[in-house]
Amino acid sequence: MNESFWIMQGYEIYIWPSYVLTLLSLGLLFVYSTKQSQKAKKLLKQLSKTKN
Amino acid sequence: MFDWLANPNRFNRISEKMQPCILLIAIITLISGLYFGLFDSPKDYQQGDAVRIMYVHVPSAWLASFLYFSLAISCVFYLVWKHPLADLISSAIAPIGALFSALTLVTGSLWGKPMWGTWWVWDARLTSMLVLFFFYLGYILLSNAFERKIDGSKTASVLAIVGLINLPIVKFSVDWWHTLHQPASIIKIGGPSIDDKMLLPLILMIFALSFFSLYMIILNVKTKLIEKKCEALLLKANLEEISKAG
Amino acid sequence: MNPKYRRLFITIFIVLTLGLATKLILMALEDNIVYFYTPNDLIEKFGDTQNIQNKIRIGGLVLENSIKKVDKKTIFIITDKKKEVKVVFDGSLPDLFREGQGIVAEGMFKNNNFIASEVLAKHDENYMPPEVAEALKKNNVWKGDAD
Repeated sequence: MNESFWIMQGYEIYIWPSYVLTLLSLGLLFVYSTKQSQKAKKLLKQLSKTKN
Repeated sequence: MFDWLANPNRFNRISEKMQPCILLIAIITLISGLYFGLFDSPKDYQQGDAVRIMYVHVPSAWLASFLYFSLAISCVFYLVWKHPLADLISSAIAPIGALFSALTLVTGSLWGKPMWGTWWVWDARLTSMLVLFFFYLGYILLSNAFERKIDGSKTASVLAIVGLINLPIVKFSVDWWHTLHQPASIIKIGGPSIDDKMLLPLILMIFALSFFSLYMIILNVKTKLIEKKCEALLLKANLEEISKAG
Repeated sequence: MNPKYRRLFITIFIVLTLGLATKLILMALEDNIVYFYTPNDLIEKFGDTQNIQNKIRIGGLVLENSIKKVDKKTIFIITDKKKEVKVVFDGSLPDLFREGQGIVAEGMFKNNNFIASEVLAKHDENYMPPEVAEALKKNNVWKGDAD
C-alpha cells in the first residue's frame, strides 16, 4: 500500500475517524446485543430447570 | 392479519431461519462497500478524497430517518392495536436509530470541517437532524421513566408519533429553505446526480447498514421476548411459594 | 365505533393537526430558518443594503475573475446571477473556496461593502470524478456549480 493512500490528500484526519467511528459503533452494538441475548437465554434455561 | 404477524412464536420461528441470511448479506455488502468506498472509487472533482466520508455519512442519515419512520409506525400499531410485540419492536429500534443519528451528526461534522470550513452551523438540515436525535433520546428516556412499564410505553409512543412531523422537515429542509447543506443527490427529479462509480459504494453501504440494523432489531426483539418469559416464570415461582406458605 | 378504529382515527387526526400547526409555525419563522440570503433576496427584502444594520449571511457564487488579494484581505464578489455584492474578508478561507464556487459569508454591510467575519464553502449535490467533470465542461453540457 503506498503512502498517498493513507494520507488521502490531507483529509485523512477527517476520513479515517469517520470510518473507524462508524465501524466501531456497529461492532460494539453487535457484541453488546449478542451478550445480552446469551445472558437472557441462560437465565431462561436456569429458570426452566428449577421449575421442574 | 396483524394478529398473525404479531404471534411471538411465529416471529421466533421465521426469524430463526432468516437471521443467518440477513447477517451474511450485511457482512458481504459491508466489506464490498468499504472496499469500493476506500480503495476503488474515484476522487470527486471538487472535494477530492474527502468525498469518501459520504459513504458512511449518507447511509447513517438514511437509516436514522428510515428507522424513525419504522419506530413511529410500530408505535401506531402499539397504541391502536395494542400489540405487545409492537412495543418490543419499537424499543428495539430506538437505540439503533439514536446511534445512527449520532453517527450522522459526527461524520457530518467531520465532513463539514474540511469542505465547508466549519464543524457545525445552525441551518435547517443540521438542526432538524439534531432534533431527530433528541426525539430518539426522548423516546428512550420516556419509555423507562414510569413505574409501570405500560405507562412509559404509551407516553413514549405518543412522543414518537408526534416526532414524525420532523421527518419531512429533515428530508425537504434543503429544498424548502436556503441551507448550507447541499440538496439530495440520489433521490431527486431527473435521476441521481452522482457518478455510477460513486453510487456503487454508497448503495452497498446503505444495504449493509440496513441489513445490519434489521439483524440487530430481530436479535434484540428476541432477547426481549426471552426476558419477558423469564419475568413470567419468576412471577409464577413467587406466587407458588406464597400459596405454599399460605 | 370499534375502539380500535376510534384510536386509529384519533391518531391520524392528531398527526394531521400537528402537521398543519408545524407548517404554520415554520411559515411564520421562515426568516429565522433560512440560513442565508442571496444578493437578490436582500434587495427584494430590504430595498437597499444601507438599511441592513444587523449581522447577516449572504450566499451565492464567487464571480469569475473577481478574487483580489489586498494586504491580507481577500476581496471578491458574490453573485446570484441577478445582483452582486462585494465582500471583504480577512481570515482563512475553506479549501473549496474558488471562482464559481457556491459560498456563504457572514458579516455586516459597511458603505455597500460586505465585511465578512466568516466565509463557508457550499458544495453542490453533483458528485463525479474530475475526468467526467472535464468532459462535461468540454462538451458544454455543464450545468454549473451550486446555486
